[in-house]
Amino acid sequence: MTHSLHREGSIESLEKDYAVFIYPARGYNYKGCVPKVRHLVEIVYQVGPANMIATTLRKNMYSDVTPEEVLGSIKEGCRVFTVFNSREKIKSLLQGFKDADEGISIVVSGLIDRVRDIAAEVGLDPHTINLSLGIHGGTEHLPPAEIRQFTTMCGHAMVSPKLVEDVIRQVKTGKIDSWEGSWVLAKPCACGIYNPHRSQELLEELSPLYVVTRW
Amino acid sequence: MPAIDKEKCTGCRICQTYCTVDAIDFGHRKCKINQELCTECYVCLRMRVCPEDAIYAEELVGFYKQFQHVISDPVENHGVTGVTGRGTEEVKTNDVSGRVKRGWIGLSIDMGRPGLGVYLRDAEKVAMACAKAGFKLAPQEESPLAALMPDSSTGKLEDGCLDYRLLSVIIEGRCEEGKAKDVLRALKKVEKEVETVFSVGLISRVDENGHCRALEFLDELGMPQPHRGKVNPGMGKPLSTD
Repeated sequence: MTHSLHREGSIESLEKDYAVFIYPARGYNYKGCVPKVRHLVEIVYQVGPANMIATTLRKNMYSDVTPEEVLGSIKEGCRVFTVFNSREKIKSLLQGFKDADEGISIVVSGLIDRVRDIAAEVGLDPHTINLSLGIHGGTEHLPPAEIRQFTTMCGHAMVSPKLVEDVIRQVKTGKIDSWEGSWVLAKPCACGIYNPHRSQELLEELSPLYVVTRW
Repeated sequence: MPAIDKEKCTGCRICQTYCTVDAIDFGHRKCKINQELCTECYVCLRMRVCPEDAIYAEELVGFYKQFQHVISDPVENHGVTGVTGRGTEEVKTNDVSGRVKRGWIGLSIDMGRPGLGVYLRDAEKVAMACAKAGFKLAPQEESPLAALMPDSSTGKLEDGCLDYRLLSVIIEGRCEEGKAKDVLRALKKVEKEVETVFSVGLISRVDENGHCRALEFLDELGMPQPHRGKVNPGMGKPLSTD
């Protein structure tokens, strides 16, 4: 899965967008991982995620699911995908994970310099990095860059460009507000790393610039 | 695979808004799924986007059809790797698995991403170009695409699968650091031969100074220096020190 690696947008916007993965390794530390993953998820809740999903439940934070249900769903091999909208929260999260020392793999995805700085502040040395070398091939077929800011927040491409355009239209015409629009866009993302807070800001920036032909 | 009951369809076209790859046609006041373009991602079914409940699932017949769905729909769990999404752990557990060791470079080539989809014939072109340049493609236990690859040393896929379209699929593998430049050069060449896009992730162990040597030759190849990345800070146990 590389679904968080290639998010697009301005540096300013991406500074408020960090995806985090809690990942037991198959064949290495699956056995006995349940209480460890559960403890790490409790730390996630304490810090306050912008979105989250456990692979054993597959309901993101905007699907009427309680923390108790998420914690109760965790079984052997459960992975957790989550997203945070500030540097301070990521630092606090990594500190919490480091103190917990549960031995489960953690990955933070974001602006590489920022993530490395934060890790260093917490006293963590990167073991491995995966760097985005961008998009290649027939890029002329892609939707416009401003739409890709939204669609690439779901790396599996579950959020269609047409849905983004439709939500911009609905926000522009006052049918829904920018937060409601962000919920609509977050729902198809089955991995729970669509960041509705960033999406809301983007909707507020973009909707004044769009011309609406259908009301 | 998804289909639309034309008796129930009122032609509201909401499903077209949600379709990830523009695979729903509209004509004679009805919507119809274009089976040539559909990648079986199941967003329309899972989200129950049709207010008339006109979209239903038909049985997926044959291994390739099921493969198409399992890889395109991130909710599905890949049988061999045991991982959801596109079915690969990639760098996320490298602190434990040691899949990419010091002196080696890993690549994850995300075919069809972002959002265009990919015919497996294009994935084959890229896999073969990389293999020819010295890239060792990941085996079936690590990468679902290898299930369609009788010989991973060539990257050639089974002929029967080539016309299947997926929302995206990852070509994964590794090479010695010294060969990484050749592999990236091969990617630059083959990008002109595919009908879609691909996003590239470069995976590397970090040396004691926090350095990744592969970055030094990106400028020479005309590839942009990365500003986004994933960091595995080595919290997994038992820790791989290779």
